[in-house]
Amino acid sequence: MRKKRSARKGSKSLPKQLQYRDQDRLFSSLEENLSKIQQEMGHSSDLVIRRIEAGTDPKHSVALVQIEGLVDDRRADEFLTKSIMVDSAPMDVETPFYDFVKENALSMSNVQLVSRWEELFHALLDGKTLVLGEGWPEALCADTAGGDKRPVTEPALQTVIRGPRDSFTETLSTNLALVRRRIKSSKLWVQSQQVGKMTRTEVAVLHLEGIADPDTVKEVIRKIRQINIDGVLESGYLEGFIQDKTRTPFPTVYNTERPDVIAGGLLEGRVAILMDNTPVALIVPTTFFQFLTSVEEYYQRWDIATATRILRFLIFTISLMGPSIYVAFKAFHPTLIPTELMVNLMAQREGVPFPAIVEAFLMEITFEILREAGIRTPRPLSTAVTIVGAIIIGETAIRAGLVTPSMVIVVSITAIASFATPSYSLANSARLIRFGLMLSAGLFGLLGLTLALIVLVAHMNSLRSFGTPYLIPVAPFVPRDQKDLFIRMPWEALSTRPRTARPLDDQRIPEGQDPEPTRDPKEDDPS
Amino acid sequence: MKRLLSVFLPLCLLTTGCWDYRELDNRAVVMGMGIDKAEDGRYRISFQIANPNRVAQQAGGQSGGGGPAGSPVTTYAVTGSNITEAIRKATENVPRQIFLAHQRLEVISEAVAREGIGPLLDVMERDPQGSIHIPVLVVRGGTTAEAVLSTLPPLEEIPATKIYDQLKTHEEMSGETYAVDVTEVLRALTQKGRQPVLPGVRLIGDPAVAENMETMEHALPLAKVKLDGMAMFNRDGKLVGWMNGAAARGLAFINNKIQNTVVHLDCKGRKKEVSVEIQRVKTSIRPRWNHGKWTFHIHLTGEGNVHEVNCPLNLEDPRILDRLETQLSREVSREVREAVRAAQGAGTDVLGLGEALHRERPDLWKRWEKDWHRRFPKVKVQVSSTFVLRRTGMRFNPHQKEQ
Repeated sequence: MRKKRSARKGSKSLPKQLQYRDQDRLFSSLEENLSKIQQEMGHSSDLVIRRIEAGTDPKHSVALVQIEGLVDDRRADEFLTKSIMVDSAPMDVETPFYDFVKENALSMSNVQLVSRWEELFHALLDGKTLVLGEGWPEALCADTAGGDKRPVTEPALQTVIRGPRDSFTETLSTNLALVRRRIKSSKLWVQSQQVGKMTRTEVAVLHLEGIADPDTVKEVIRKIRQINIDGVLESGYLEGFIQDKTRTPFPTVYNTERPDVIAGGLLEGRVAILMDNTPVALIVPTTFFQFLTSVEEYYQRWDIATATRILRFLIFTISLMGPSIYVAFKAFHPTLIPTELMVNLMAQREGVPFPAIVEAFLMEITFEILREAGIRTPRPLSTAVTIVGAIIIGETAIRAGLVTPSMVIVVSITAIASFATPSYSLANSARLIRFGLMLSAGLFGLLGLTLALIVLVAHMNSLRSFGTPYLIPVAPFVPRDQKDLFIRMPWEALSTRPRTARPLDDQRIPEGQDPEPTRDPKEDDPS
Repeated sequence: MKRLLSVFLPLCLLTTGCWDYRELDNRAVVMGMGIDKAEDGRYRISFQIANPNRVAQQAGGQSGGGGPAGSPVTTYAVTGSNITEAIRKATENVPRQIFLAHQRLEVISEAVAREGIGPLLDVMERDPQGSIHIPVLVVRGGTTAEAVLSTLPPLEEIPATKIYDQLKTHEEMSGETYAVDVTEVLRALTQKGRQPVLPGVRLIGDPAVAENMETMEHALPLAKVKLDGMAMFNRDGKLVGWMNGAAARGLAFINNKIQNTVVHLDCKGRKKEVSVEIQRVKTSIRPRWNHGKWTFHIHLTGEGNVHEVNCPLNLEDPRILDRLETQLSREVSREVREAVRAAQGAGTDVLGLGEALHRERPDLWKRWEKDWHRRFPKVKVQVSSTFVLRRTGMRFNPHQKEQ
């Protein structure tokens, strides 16, 4: 008995708005509509309602409803308010007022009719201006979306020396335009959907029709549609939902803030995911090696690009295993260190209280703290952090005999290598794995390090990014794609798209594009 | 299965200790080892242990007082019946674990070498830490290996390193003595066609002064270690004789150890007026059946560059150069012959003639193998050499004119 009553009480206390949301249409009375909107929005202060008398007839009054800040004020004023007030003055009496406004008065390009409450609120919150009138069956929605947006600026994370300087902003339409401007083809298809029950964030899936694998496109759209969450605030949310495997330190979705990287990915047959409110876009499928490449390699000469690429593999190796190799050599295999160096290292170690492995952990953790502090400290304080960090690590710790200078060198080189990794997300993975490798090297020396690496490679081999093996084209070995892996062949040799994304159309550059010297027409002359 | 693994794998990690983990500052790095005869007939083995602080201090010139300047090395001597026993016994004196992997050389006293070097080398090969590629030297002149090892050198910090570098440089620039490492000795001891040789080393000066830090403060060293000749061993690994000077270099010629050396030639009746640098020497040993006897032909080919001329010679004249070439070949052959004479005199085949015969006539070698040490001193050896002069340096004719 009690249970029943409480249950009934619960349904009664359910907010009123939920009960009519799905079914109910707009009222015919303007006042009633307006009060409902106000009630629904909780009388929020940024809700703006303007009443306008159109023409002379007091019955012909309309109300404009919009949300402050989401609308482009200039557009709303110029095209909407003015057109209703001025244009409807010499109104034809025969035509009903509603039809007249709908047909003639609104000089906006994009006007929709909404009759349901749900649609009305969606339109209102998307930045549209609602035009409501007495006795109207529907509300007119004029697209006045606008408001403040950040301009296109230089990329903050993925910088290049040679290459375009624009990067994505928080506005999806701007970002889409940045990509469109690069690929002016009707084959660039954009499929949008909204994610998040509360946030209703616009997510756009881009692909090149006829090149991208249709199954991958379908899979991406399906996975995004399946996301059921109250809100997505950054593309990291999407990444978490669409990746093939969560329990891995490695990223299986590539992210970038550079439109040229997105365009490059699309041309290789990959699928790009752009999201509103974030400058970070995603590309799938991806491979481990994509995280080690930088766009600039395609803008530079191929030999230089190749050298940089090889350097980058070295950088990644150092950032992954710098301290662990050092610890393993020092504590387990001094046989392998050249004598002079070893005597030198021994001298440094005299009087240092901690074993090498503890020392390595101490220094690494100290560095991580400094790094984190560097990111989180308020700008004005960051100099202080740098000074304190440099003095503590560089000078005092060694002077005090707490750590050996060589360990500081190793940790510093590792840190620099970590910064030099082109992808921030992979650098983060390397940071995490580094500690594991240090532990195994500290326990079992090079033997432990080797075992840990074997496990690591086996794990990487088990990863998939939208069905693409993570280590392709090394494992499985694709001979054709070696041309753009450790070496970046000259452009005319990159004639086929990589198998990574399983493109429908392999051919990228037709035959016979090898550059040849400009011919002197006189030489062809037989005389 | 997976669950079982996930329990046991972390256990393996957490319940075991740190396998083989040993900090650098818990190791005593042996730079060199000296082996002498103790009074009771056992071995007296000295370990030269690097003193990392001193070495680094001198090398890097570290600022800030690192205590008083001390010797860069400390030599501990222990008596034991073999090396293994000595290493374990050394812990009585040394606070750290003896670490042999960075050993630079092994010095053996002449008395020990005459008794046989065989028993000293097994551990070098068997111990995973032992280095088989370190040179072995024999001390001449009655001084102990310990004294040689403790002589503080003026240029280097660590005596063992100094002797090692000296040996390598000498081998490269002169070839009169050359480094022989443990594997080479062992190989020579296990086969009958070649007997081992080892470079000799001699302490000049007072051993008591030599190990004092004060030696390093003198511009003219009070004591120094000098390389001197090659020791010949018989097939039992016992020292049977020495090769000195020209004979020692002749040995290096035969064993293809010459990288670069200088031969001095007489000119117009005056001794050693022309110096020729020799490179790219190749030696071949061929046994030939000749007049009912086996004769070993040792033939050398090589190139020479005129390096110094102190008598008036017209080097633009090809005939003069031809004459110099003949002279050079004759001089080299003479040295080689001296080596052969010394080896046959000592009765040990350090030249590898047996090896050459083994290669040429394996069937014959099978019959001769057993009494090769008796046959070797009597075999006939013929030496010939062909040298070509390639360059005359930065100028043709010497500034000295004919008078």
